Amino acid sequence: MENSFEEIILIEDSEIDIFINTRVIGLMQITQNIVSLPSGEAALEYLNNPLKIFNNSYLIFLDIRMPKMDGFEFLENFLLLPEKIKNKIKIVMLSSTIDSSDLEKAYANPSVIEFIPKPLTRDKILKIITT
Amino acid sequence: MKQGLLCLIHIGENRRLHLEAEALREELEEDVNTIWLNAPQLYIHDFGEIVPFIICVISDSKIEWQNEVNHIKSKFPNFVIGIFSDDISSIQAYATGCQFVLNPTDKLDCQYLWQIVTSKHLNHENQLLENQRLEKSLAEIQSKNKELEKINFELDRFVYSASHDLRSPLTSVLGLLYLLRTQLIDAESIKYTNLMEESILKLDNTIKDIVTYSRNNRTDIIREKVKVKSLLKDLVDNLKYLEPSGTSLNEAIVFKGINILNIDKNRLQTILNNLISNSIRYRQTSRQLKIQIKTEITENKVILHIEDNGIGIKEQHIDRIFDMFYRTNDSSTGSGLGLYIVKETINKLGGSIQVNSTINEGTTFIVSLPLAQS
Repeated sequence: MENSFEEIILIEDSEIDIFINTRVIGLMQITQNIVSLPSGEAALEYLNNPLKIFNNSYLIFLDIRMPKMDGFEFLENFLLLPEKIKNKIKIVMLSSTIDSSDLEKAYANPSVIEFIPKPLTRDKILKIITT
Repeated sequence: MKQGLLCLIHIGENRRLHLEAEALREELEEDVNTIWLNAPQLYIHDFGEIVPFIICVISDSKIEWQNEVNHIKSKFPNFVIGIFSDDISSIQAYATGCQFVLNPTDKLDCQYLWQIVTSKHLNHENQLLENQRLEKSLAEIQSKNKELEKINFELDRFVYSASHDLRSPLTSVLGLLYLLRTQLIDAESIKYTNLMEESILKLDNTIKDIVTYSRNNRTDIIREKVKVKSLLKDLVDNLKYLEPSGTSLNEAIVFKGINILNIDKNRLQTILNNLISNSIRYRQTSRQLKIQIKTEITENKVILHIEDNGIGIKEQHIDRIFDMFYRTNDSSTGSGLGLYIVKETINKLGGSIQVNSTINEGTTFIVSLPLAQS
């Protein structure tokens, strides 16, 4: 389990949640690198950076409600990325929504491997890693 | 004291008389109970036990209405006090000066009176007017409907936005508490964080209940094939926080019956979620929790049984458990909305719910829902 991911990317606008998620992930020692990006737009820019080389596997925790580009818009744009990048990335939606249509939309998206309700905990991460 | 009903009947289409009579009615209404029969436009109310014993007939002097007026007069001679054609003020003088005494020996057949008043008015001319009026009100209803749809849509968005904005700080606090607990070692502090978590979950549940309630009210019924077993599994996962120590919810909840139902998934989830979480909350701690869920299909119904071995519900509460905010004990952790939402949801689906409970033995809810026509 140690260092399962080259990098974990948090797409999240709430600073408190960034803090919590960073801490929970940090305690589990599943990656050396945690990056947080405040919106879907910033995340796309980050993933599109030509200098960035995608080795190994990446995990994204994606919030739904964010200013500018929200989680679902990000997913639409994510689909347009080159296969060699997409192949390396797993996306988990992490949100406090209880709108069942959000859940359906999330699961219907082929890039999304799991939807987890906030807050992020060790058990929830373990569930993703083991399945 | 003035009692009883003063029944004013305006017959005819004289605009001026109509307006004057209307004004008189408003004035009189402060002192006496008036029923205003402005044929053919007004409806007669169910008088119930109250008998209108004085009738003032206000009429055009036109001959065509006279027969009708006379008819009423001959039919109810003890009730009609007078026919006033152009002199509205005399009614007022009469009505305000008179001491009403209720208890007439004759009973006035209101329905019959109404028939006389209305039937003769529905001549061709009036029918045209009536049609025009209906068309106008149809257009009004349609535009009102449109407006309501828009309000509904906006309210829906508002509920979701508000619930999200209310919930996200709560989930942040839950996350922080979770982190805090990973660092705490003394029992006292752990106890505090547990209590904090409990309070936040309670608030969170209230928000969820409100959202569920508003969603049930405003969304259409969507039937689909639902696997009850897997729905129960998801549900149990979400109820983990209620799991009593030393009990496995997966083992405590036993399902038997028809697994695949053609039903509104969200609403079935709402019903089961609320009933099962109640069974967990109000369990009998001295014995192992057991919740049996059974589904069956009869000729035209889906029947759900949810049976627990909990503390039971006292007979004095049974009639009120489905009321909004009704809680049977002070220490209950629920929002007081759960069973109300269950009932509302079942109502929306056109079904019914029944409850049998024995103190210290357990409670069984029997939900009956109409089968889809397919």
